[in-house]
Amino acid sequence: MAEVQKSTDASGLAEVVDRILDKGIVIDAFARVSLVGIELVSIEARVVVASVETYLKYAEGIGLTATAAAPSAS
Amino acid sequence: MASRTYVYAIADPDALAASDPLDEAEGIQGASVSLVHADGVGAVVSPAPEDDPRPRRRNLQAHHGLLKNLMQEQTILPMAFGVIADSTDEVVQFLSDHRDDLARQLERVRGHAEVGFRMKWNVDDIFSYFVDRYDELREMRDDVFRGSGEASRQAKIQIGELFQNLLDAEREAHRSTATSHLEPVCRAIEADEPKDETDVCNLACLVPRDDVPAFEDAVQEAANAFGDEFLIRYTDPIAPYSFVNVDLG
Repeated sequence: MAEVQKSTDASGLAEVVDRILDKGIVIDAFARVSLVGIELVSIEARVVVASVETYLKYAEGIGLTATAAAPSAS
Repeated sequence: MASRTYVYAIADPDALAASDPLDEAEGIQGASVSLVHADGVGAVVSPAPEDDPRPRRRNLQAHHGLLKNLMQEQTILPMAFGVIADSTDEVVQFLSDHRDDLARQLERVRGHAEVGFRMKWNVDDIFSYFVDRYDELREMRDDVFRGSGEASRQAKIQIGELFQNLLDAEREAHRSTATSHLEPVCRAIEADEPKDETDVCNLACLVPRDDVPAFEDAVQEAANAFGDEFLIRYTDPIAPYSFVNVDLG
């Protein structure tokens, strides 16, 4: 069975920060403050778009599993 | 008087006036919060800080916390963080211009809250997990990374793409299983893009406020349908950020 966690108020902001910033109403006619300098970690890795860069990153991760599986040469 | 005005939410002015939750409320940097309205739709506003509020924890918490309090009793349409009008007159004009659309949107989310539901793979190494599950991936890995020479860029792209396809197929299947448990207690479900390779799905669920306990039961049911290698995290009821769909020029 999957573990279930409910985010509390203390941990909750990180869990919903992408919604506070990316969702909700934005009105073009009004100003929007700059979102530069966001200090919360959780939004660093925004959406991962499938790309050659991503594939290469995945390949690296998969390559490491080969190293881990290989019998040590002695 | 023209003073820059921070906007928190669109609301039903009569309901707000009746319960007066704004009296004690504090906005960004402790600003006092008030209601402006036009033609039966209202906006919760405060004077904007002199310097644009930066998206720091304290400011985000002030914005989010105010909305969270308001939505306990009220139906609101949350603004994104950091929307500032030149004056309250400008806000009133906006409400007046978009009255019908805003009223319709308020009606749509009336009595509902948003609950975030995120599922992740809770494994030490997601790549090992997939390599162990898929012969095809393991065989390609053995081909590509065999020997001491560096694998070609083309081969790496190929294996990365295979991983992506397997990942996407699993995500799709698991999301479908999860939503099959959640759908009966949700008015609507929006799926956001996964953020990294350990994310299975990231859902925003529009749940009738009275049915939040039933939603929590459904989360447990969903959890029972998955193995130990998954982690499910869900949030408190929050304002319906993901379910405002106002196209406002």
